[in-house]
Amino acid sequence: MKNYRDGKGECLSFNDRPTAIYSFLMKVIQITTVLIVTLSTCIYASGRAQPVTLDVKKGTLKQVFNEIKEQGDYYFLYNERLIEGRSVVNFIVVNENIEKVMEKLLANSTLDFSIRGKNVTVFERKDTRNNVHNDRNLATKQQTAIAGRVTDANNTPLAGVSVSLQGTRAGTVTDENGDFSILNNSGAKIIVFSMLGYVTKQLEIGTGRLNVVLEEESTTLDDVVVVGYTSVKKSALTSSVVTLQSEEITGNVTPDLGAMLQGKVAGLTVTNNTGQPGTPANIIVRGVGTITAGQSPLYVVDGIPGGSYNPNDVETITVLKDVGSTALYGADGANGVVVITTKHGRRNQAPVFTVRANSAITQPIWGRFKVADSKELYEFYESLEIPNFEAEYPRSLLDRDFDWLNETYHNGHAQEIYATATGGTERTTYMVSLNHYNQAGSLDHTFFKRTNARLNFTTQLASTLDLSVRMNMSENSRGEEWGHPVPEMAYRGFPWDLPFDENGVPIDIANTPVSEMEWHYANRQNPFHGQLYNYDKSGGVEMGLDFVVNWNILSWLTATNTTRLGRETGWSKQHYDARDNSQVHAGATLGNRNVEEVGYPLPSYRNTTLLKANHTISSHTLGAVLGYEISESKGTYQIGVSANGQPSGMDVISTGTVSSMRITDGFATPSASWSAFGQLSYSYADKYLVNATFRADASTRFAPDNRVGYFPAVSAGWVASDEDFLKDNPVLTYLKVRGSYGLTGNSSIGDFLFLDTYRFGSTYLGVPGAQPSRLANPELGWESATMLSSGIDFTLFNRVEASIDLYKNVNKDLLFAAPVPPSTGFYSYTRNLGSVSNRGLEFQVTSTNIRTSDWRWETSFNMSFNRNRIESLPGEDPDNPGKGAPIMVGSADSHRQRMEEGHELYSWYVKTWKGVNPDDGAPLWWGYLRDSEGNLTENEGLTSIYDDAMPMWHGTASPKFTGGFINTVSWKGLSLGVNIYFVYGGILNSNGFQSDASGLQYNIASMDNGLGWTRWKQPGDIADFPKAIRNNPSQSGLPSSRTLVSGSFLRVRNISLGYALPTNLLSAVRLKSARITLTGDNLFTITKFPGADPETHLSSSGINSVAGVVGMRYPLYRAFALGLDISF
Amino acid sequence: MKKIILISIAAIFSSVLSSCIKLDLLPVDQLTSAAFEKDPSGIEYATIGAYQWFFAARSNPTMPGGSSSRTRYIRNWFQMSEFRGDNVFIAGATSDPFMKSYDYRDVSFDETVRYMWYCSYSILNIVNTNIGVGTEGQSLRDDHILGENYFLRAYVYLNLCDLFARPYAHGADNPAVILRTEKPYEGEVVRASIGEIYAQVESDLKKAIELMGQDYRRDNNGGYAWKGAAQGLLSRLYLYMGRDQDVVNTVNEMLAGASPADVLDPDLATYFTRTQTSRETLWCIALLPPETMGNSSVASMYFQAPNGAGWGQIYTSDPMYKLFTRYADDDIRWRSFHQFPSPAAPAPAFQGAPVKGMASWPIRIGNDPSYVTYGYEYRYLAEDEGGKYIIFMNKLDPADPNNPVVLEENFFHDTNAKIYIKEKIVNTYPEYYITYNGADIDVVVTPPADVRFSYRKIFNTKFSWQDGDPMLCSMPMIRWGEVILNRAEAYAKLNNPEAALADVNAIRTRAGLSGDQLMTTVNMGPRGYETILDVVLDERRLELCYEGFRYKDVFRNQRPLDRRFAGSHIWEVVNWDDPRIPHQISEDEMVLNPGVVRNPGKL
Repeated sequence: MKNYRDGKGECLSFNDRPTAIYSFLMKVIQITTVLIVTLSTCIYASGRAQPVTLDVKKGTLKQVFNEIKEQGDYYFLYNERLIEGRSVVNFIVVNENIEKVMEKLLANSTLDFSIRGKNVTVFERKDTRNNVHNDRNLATKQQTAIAGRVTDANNTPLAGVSVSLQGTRAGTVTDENGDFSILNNSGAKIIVFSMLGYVTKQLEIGTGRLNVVLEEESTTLDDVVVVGYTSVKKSALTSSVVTLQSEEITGNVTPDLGAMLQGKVAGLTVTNNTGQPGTPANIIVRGVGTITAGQSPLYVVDGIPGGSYNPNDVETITVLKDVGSTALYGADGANGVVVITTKHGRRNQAPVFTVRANSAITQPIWGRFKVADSKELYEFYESLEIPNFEAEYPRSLLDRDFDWLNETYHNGHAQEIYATATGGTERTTYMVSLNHYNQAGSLDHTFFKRTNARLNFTTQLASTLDLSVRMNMSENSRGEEWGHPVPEMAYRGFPWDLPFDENGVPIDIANTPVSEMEWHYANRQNPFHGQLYNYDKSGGVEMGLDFVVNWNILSWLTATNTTRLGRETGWSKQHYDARDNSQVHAGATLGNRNVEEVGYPLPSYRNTTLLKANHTISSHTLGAVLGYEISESKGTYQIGVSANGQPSGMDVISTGTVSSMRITDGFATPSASWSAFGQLSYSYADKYLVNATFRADASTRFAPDNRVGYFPAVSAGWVASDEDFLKDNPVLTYLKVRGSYGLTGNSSIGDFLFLDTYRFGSTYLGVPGAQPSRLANPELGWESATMLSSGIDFTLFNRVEASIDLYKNVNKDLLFAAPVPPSTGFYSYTRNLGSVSNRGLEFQVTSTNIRTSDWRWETSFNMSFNRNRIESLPGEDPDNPGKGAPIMVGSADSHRQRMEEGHELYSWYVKTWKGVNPDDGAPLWWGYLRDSEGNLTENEGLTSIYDDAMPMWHGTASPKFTGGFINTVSWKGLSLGVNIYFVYGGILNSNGFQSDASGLQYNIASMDNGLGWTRWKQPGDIADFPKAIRNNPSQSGLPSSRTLVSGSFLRVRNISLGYALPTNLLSAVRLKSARITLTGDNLFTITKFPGADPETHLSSSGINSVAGVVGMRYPLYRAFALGLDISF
Repeated sequence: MKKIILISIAAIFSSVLSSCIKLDLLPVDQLTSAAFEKDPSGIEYATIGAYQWFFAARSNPTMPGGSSSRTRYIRNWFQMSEFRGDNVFIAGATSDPFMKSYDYRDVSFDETVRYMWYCSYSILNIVNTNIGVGTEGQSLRDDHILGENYFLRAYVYLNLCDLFARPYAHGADNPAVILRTEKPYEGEVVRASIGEIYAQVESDLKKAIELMGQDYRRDNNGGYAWKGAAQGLLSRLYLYMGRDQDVVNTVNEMLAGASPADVLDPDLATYFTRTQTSRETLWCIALLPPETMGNSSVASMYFQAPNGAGWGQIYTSDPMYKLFTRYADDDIRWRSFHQFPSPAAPAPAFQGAPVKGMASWPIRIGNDPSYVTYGYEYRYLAEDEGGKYIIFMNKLDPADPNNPVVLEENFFHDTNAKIYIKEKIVNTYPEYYITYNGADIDVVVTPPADVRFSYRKIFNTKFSWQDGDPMLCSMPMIRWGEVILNRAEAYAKLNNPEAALADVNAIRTRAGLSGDQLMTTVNMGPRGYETILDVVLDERRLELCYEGFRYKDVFRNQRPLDRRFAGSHIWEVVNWDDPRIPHQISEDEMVLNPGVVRNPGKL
């Protein structure tokens, strides 16, 4: 696209004048032309093929063309002389498609037009020409052939350039040598060369062979960015946003949008914690600023907060990172906003059908991790000085070596098919899609299936009134691990226990008397037997209906009302069959158990009314948005049913015993909120931009006195490259400086936390009882985040686009479930306490390295640095008066973190491991020493007594930086994409991968992991692991820094190889395009992490949970996929 | 003008659409304490909620880091109390924090101590609120429910003292726990003395007795507190306080002229499967079959059922076993509640015949001087005309080249020698030993049993089989058996041996013993008892075993606890003044309430 800002190219004319923009501006002022543009509404959200709205009192035709171009991304091709002096008076169109507008505009003139894609060509009407220019017509009527070659600036031939003769329908494309030949039988004067990614060129037809050089067009500044309630041109943005297109996010084997975004957006930390199919990734924008309130960003689907979507239907996704754009979401904007716009059809578009199919194989990722095999385990046990060892553990055990880990988790597979049809007529557009995703996990019976259907439909009811209906329905089901013996046995099962008999049938060890078969593992359980019968499934149906009325009241004023109705039902069903008793070790009810739970949401709706205005007077553009939003939910009606004692093989509730039948039902809590908001924006000459936002939110979540929160913000931008001193700078072709400051909020907590409610559901002797849920807090109000952000966007050589952002966000009055002494009967209750800040630096660079007709190489790189700091905590630290009381996080008998003012969240605070005493193999910690009498002293040193060791700081689970590196190379139809993701600097707890086998009940992790681990065996050994002792009284396995390891890694997230079949081949079978892709996800990872994989959630839900723990989990997966994408 | 009209229409249009919204909502499925004052049924619901917290995992609000299987009051209560005694041992180590109670190494952040502290005060919060809001004299039923709240407060405080304070007998001024009788508040609090807590417990129990009336018993179910429960607990309180005459008076008042046989359950063998309905029960935590605690049950550590339920990793100690086997054939408390699980396959046989028994004796494990524990050496027995003798090669077939036996140095090498089991009579009861290399080694002889890390297994099923579920028992929290023995101990201390022995024999008779098996002032001496109190304490040990009384009975009587028997604990004698006796107080409390001082604990 063309950069119109340079004053040259407001139109593409072949008789251009540098001063056109100035004369244009002068004329505008003189004749007080009013050109009001309605920014695109949420219906026409993509910025492409938008309807045109004009209200011209008096202006030149050229000005009108310019305006249409700006509104709809069209290129006008015309002869300057042809339209010179033509003026337009009292011309009004509202939300018309381009054809209509052009028809009206040129109705009484001698001009005609043609539209080809986005190119609008204006030419003299044939009949006029015949009459007026008869002689010339005669002269040019004879046929002439025009031929030539098109190359890029490097003289490389460009294939596929479309070549057309202006004012005619004649056209061709260049061949692979860049050559073309076209017959001019209509006397055309102008020949036009255009190709996506290059500046369109027009030449006067002369004689002789043409050698045409096309210049690359590299700026995307005219792209329209959907920022939620509104859309803005990228050039007019005053805040930090990142937009990705559909093709930039698809390509991974996952049904989850979050996972698709990993490594692609600076400032966004995306983590997967499990390979369980259908589990969404965790997304954090610019660090975690809250402690116990929700941390996920707000999702805005098609302009309205909330809503459901299918990742395949996403046309663009925009991440709003700073308050300049998130402030409009007020109370829910503090964690960032992800704006999703779904695909839609275009007016007068012939139907396009697209079918995409993928098939993938997945493979569990084990990294360095292995469990001990039969021999390693036997040798370890042998070293433990067990009485009667040979009797208890005969050497014949060495003949058995069952690989529990790899027999439990094996290869899985995934398939996906996606079909859409898009198109439009003169008054309507439509997009329908159907998607089916089916993934079988690496663990038997785990799966995720989703079927999704969407219809986006828009129709013009009247010249000023549009109606859109968007429907989305998705049905999904999921198979889960059915209880704890499965991962437990995979990681800890004994290689000496053989779960299958000689016929390959799983042994029912739980029902085999001890006297008949030995089982070395702590519990007599065999999940392979349970897998024959048991399951744990869940699923649901999600429906969303949007009903949007858009009224163009005046050319400069639009009202939009959106009603969103949502329904979500869920079910889950667990079945533990009578034929398997393994579950009793999971604490499950003896015998079988059958639970079903269904939720029926009662009516809930959200209604948003927006008034949007936009007014330009000469160089002054003033925009305004005024909105009011309400939402209401009556809660959910829940039904849970369970019964035990089903006969073998029966998994229906009603077949259980009547006495065990339990049915529970009830209402979830109702909630409601209203919000009012407004935004004012002003720009001068598209160079100086300011923006102010104000929002008020009220929610039933907060105590009546503190129910309403007010969230103001301002932002500003300066396009420095438009200033004289930078204009036409060959190096720095674009430079914008921007900044924002404001307040947003966080209301992600449960309902009614300000009341001391008693919850029903407990029974004693079958009598219903109530138990208090919390202490009351009549003061409970909003959590707010003050956000300061500044950034620069610049372009070098029209080729390298970069953004650098600095920010500091301070969350205060945290919705913090802060601790209280347990002698109150509670551990915590939610109060507005404490403050956490995040400051960071992030940059994102996109560079087009090579762009010729055959070759294309793009590189994108992003990196984010974030530092988190606890600014204040409640209470008082007895050791540091004036400081808040530190809070220990996590289970007291496990690795803990500590919140302390001045430290990061998720900072480890555990005893310091100092290795193994070479003399006796005893563990060593750093701690207080004892005197000869055994009394503790103040002296510090190495100690082998765990209790004398002191806890110390040991880094934080949050990484120092994360980033992504994306390379795309294509040559003709072939393309290769490589996507690398990296995380550096977080400290993780790999507890569970370093066992000392204090009890002889479980298998252990193998020491053979490539890290050179050794265990102490005899005096003098310098070892990583202490001497193995039965019942381990040395307590070396207790929490210490021993198991804290670096979580840094670099991962080849995705490699995709694609081939687009040549068009000439496809046209024979009437296909528009066809593409085959071969992709690999998570191909390899470079890391020193001793466990299976270091990727884990880097956030916690509060004082109960510790971030950065990798234990016995469902392994992440590697995937290889073959895909086909055709459209016709 | 046209514009103004249009804008007005738009404004009206949008304001209609966005009509005002009601924000003063209240939860529709929950109560608030403010509602209790208007409606006493709220108190009833909350009282049920309090009862439920004795057995249910507290899911909301949760304890940070608590696992749902461990955060259950009765599981922790019975394990933390019983494992500190000498009735049981743990075979092998476990990461389960009850291990810390067992080996006196509990620390303030153990899940057990944290949960018991938290759950106790959560129950106290409910009953304090109910007592604060409730009004007396409304109706018999409402008064009874209020009385139950006073009882529950007393019970929870008494248990808190048992866990976290030294016995009252060691000094009434010793620090106990935080005393709260009102709604929770924040701010500086300190530990009240055990004397202050006991005074509150006494007054609460008296109030409970007053409010719960004479005959009314809710639903006739032992799961609800009633007057008898409060009186029984009062007898326990007085016993712990050394007010022996008050014990006698209270128990006499309870009996109201009836004899112990009239109140004890006549069928002890099945009593624990029907605690809810038995007259023996003064109060139990009533569980319905669907509420079984499965592998979180008290039974789960003692018993692994044939269907796989339970862990079965904690076994009767040698001294306890020896005490039981004095009258093993007749004592219901042994024969109905214990079993030897069969050894793992193949069944041990010697020279084609099943083995004739098994001998075990403690051997020291490892060489860590700071933590001396004793495991077992065990050998199966064969029998010939000379008696039972040791089979050297356990299980293994020496002919099998895949299983070459390598015996360790300290084992018996001379496989030709026959080492016979010899018997000696100690205190009129037979005990066994072997002689090896000139030294006598005491052994315990049992039927051949399965082993876990060489520890012979004895399963105890005392808390199993309610409704046919091996893991289900409505745990008795106070029962007549204890109350009678409370009186026996009081009589013993009041120097009334006949009355004391009468109560002891009432218990023994019910347990299936008779004739010479009963205790008399004449036969007690030859049986090794110096005082009547010794007899009573052994009877308490037998009758109340696994119910959590043993370590309290020993320490409050200022006696040493001999833990020199095989198991995973330290081989030692714990003296009554050992600083480790009370559990550590929850770290969570001490961190936020610095006024709550730490118990001295180990080292």
